[in-house]
Amino acid sequence: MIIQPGIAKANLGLSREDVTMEDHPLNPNPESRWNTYFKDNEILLQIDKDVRRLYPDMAFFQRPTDYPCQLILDPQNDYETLRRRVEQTTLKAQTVNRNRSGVTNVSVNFFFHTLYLGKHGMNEIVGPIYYTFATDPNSQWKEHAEADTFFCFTNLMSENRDNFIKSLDDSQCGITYKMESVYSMLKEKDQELYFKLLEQNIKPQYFTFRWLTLLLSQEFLLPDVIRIWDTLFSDQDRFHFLILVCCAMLILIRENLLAGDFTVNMRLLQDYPISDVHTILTKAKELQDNS
Amino acid sequence: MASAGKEHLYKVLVIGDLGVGKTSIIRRYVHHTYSHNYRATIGVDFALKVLRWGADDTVRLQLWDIAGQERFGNMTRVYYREATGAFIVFDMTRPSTFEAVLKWKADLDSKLMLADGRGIATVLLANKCEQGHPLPANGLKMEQFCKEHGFAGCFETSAKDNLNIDEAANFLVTQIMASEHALLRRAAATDTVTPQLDRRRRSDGCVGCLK
Repeated sequence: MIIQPGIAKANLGLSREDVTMEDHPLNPNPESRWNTYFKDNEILLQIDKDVRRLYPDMAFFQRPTDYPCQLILDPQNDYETLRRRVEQTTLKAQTVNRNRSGVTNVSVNFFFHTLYLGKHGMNEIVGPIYYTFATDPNSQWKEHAEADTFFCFTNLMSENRDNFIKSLDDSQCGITYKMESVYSMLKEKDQELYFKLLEQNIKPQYFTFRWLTLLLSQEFLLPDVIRIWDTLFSDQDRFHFLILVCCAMLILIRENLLAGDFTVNMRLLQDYPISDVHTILTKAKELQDNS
Repeated sequence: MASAGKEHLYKVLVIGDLGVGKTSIIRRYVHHTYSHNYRATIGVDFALKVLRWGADDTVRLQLWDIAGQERFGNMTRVYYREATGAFIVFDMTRPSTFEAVLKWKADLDSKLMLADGRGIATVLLANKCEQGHPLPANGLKMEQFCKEHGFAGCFETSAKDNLNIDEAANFLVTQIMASEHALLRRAAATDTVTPQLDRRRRSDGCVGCLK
């Protein structure tokens, strides 16, 4: 039997060419269409997982989009929806909630077309951007939320992607350097607190990794994240300002940290207690002006 | 009587591939809750579980929930330090996560070692067992697998249905205590200092004078 990877094309009028000699599902050749197909499926699966884990508590991310891609939904069309493909791959090991297939379908297609390098966590950066565009009061803007998100996300990642590249971790532009610079700035601004964290052996890696790579998007509620990003992205030196924000966050809870033991402090840093982001941004600005 | 009780503090790592349920297990164990979708763990999450142990001892377990993606490989060394026990988790419905178990074990053993040169107490968790798929091997083979690869034991768990998680944790604590006692005994036995070259440590660099 001769089948094209992924889709039954018999009804599409494609001729049934004999490909058994050149390509088949067990072909290990990297140029094999089947091989590529299976590799893509692995990435799709991960993306699907990431998308479903994006803000699971927010109704917005769980309901279908108002502007689904007509091209995909049109039954006359021969586009294979990527979501269906993932469903087939998992052999229904995971139940996919049908109500959600709208927004997540869009997102899955969207992700796949970006340079999604299989870098876990990027969805957390797409989330707030997409939300901002997709809730715009102007319905015309709203309609093109996906394209706008794509543009902004690609732009942002071109500045920020080094954080997601493992081989750069220990270089000057890598994440390790950035995590260290939160501590070196703290040392400059609040030596007592710096030494306290050092003494308790609380490494910057224990909390600043998430703070920095996700631009604080997991530390605050979505509206507050958007507020922080607004200041962050309008700053000339965005990613330096992020380090100031992290430093401000530490200094604002210094009394708690100075009094706490390792466990208490780890929990404070993992589950940051201040939700008023204006206080944080003001403090960060103050640190910036004093330097 | 409380004054007689001892307090133990252990750092326990929870590792394994992406999406096997590490966070779910910890949430179930510590907070007694379950949700179908948790946000992905980025870097590390930290939780504390306090256990009554025996008549009047207290065990404080620091649970380190470490991100499952390979991306974070460089960071694991920092997260592993000073841990005394570990859970390696796989998803019973996905064979590839079981294949990754040995990769995680090797990573752990290469970066972390007890003073007597042995690996830390490690327990294998076959999670999502409520989904009914049989283990990749039958019970007897799992036992053999554990023995061969240095796992103290294996439990089939379900964070969703709250199966076997307390049992697995209690078992791990017992194992940690056992290796702690073994270390203490060893320390007591070698109370007399015998200067000698430690081959294992030679490559550390700062002992150049021993070369």
